[in-house]
Amino acid sequence: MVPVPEHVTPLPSGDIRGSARTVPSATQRAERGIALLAPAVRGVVLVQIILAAMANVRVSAHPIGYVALTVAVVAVSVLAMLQCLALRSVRRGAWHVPDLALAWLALPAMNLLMPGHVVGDWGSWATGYAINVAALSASWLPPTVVVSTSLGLAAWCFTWKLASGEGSWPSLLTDSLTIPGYAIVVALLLHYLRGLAADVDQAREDAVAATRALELQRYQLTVHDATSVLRLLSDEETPVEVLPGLRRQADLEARRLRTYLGEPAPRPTDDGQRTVGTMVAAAVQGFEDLPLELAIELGAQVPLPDQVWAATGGAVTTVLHNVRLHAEARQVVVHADTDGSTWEVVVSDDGVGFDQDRQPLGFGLNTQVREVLSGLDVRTRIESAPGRGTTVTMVGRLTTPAPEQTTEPQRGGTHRRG
Amino acid sequence: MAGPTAVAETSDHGEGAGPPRVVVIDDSTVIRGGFATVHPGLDVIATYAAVEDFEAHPVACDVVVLDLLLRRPEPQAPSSAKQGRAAIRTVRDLGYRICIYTDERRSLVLALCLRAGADGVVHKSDPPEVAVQAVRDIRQGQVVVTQSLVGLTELLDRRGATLELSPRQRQVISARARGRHWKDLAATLYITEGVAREHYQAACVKLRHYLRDTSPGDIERAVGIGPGDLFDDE
Repeated sequence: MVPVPEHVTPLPSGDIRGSARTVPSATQRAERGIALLAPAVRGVVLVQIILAAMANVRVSAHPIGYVALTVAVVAVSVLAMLQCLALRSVRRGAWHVPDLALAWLALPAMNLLMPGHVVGDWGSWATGYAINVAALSASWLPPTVVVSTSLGLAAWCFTWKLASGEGSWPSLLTDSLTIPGYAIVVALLLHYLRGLAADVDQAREDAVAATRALELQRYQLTVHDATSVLRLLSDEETPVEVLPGLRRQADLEARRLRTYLGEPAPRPTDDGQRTVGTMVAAAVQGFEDLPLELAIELGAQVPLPDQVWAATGGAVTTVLHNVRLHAEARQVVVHADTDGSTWEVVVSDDGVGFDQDRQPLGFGLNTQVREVLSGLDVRTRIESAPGRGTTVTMVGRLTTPAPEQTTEPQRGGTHRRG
Repeated sequence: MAGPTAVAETSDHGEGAGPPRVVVIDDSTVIRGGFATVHPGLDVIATYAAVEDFEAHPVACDVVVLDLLLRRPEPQAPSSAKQGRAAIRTVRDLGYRICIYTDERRSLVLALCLRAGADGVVHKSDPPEVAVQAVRDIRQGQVVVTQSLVGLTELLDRRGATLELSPRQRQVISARARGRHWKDLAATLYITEGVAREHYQAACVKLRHYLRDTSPGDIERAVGIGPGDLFDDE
């Protein structure tokens, strides 16, 4: 079984043996973080507003109106904060718009409520509130809207401060531009954070997809050969003389399927050498119904690493299954050879062949033979043409010298290119 | 001894003209009865159940199609009935060309048949057209070998046997030993299919010469078997 990383969210149709624990996505976690950060920032501003209001309500031209505006801002802010915490998101909820509207309203209101204290006094808290509202709006509005809204709010702020007749216009402009300045910075920061979370989620989805693909491939590897055996066993027209060989093959496939299902399969007790000869001998078992011609003496003694031995044997078996199913061959040659630095196994049939330009390789030849062997540094060449049969050539490097090497390197042969 | 069983009117075909005239020697009644029907491209002029019968009543033919394992069906038949290499030598000494007709596939056994005097081997499981072509080729003086003998040829050559194959012949044998199609190997070697077949035929002739002319010990060493394992009856 291919191990599934712990952080990968199990898919509904995925491995039922995996964990059923649901893990939030990175995007969800990022939104939750923003939904905690926004109320916290607003909380700090609210404390400032409340303290400033308590200290300055006496100097207000309209204390009741001043208190009413402050209470309205605090109430809407608290509702917006609770909304974020409840929904675990700043992107939804009903209190964003009233919050924004209050920011627009508070700026001209201060000209009436706090005349003479509009500039340079926290008693006129509307600017600080507008900066915070504009910055937090970057968490729930699209970036372009954030920019335009914050610039509009800055212009609105500058206009009313200028109208108050307090301060110089450069200092008023600087104060006002703080609104879009913070809003744009927050917008960029959140855009980056959300993009990062999306990338993490995409990477995780890719990992899950790759895991599923691996699992599917492994399943296909496991059932490909079994399919042909079962089909032939169920076919009433399968010749009686083929059945004994098919039954032996079915037994082997059943053992492989048991392994796939996780049950301990009986391991072969073969303590023999892993050579090209024993590999071919094991691979051709159960194919007595095929017109096999073995010519492996030249390469039989070549030792193979366990992985290569098993993979190449599986590849030969797959090719023979294909021959049995599709080739209609009168002769199937399995040839082995070595030139002292490489070994070669050729499986060739004289069957119907196929057009390589028009007919792509099936799963067996493409995956079970070519891709699997490629991963073990065994080169595969597949050649076929209609009416000319199919030849599969597998070439690997000798990891240790073949014992009692009595053969000479191939001289001028047609198959040992490169 | 039983005489030949005439299954077709004997005609006087010249070598290379018309269907080859063949005699079939096989202990299977079914094969003797059905060979002519299955192989309409051959003129089966007589069939025999044993080499001794043919030896006693020989008839003129182009090729003798000889089963490798001959058993007398009659319980009282002598146990010394000729078969295998002894049967081949007998027919060869009578001056006939021999096509071994068998399902034996062990290359060394078939090699011994060539050494004993056979001109070619064809399998009973081969399609009829293959057998017909093999007999035609043998009538033309060619040597016909099966896939297992092609593999043996490559093995002997690689292990230093004095087959004296040319580089081209070696390439053709190497490709055929791997089961390559004639068209493919001809394309790979940049020669025509006909030329490839000529190289192949020349190599087969060299194989037969080697098997006939080389000492048993040398052949056994080249094949990699112990002295006397194959040639203890010679």
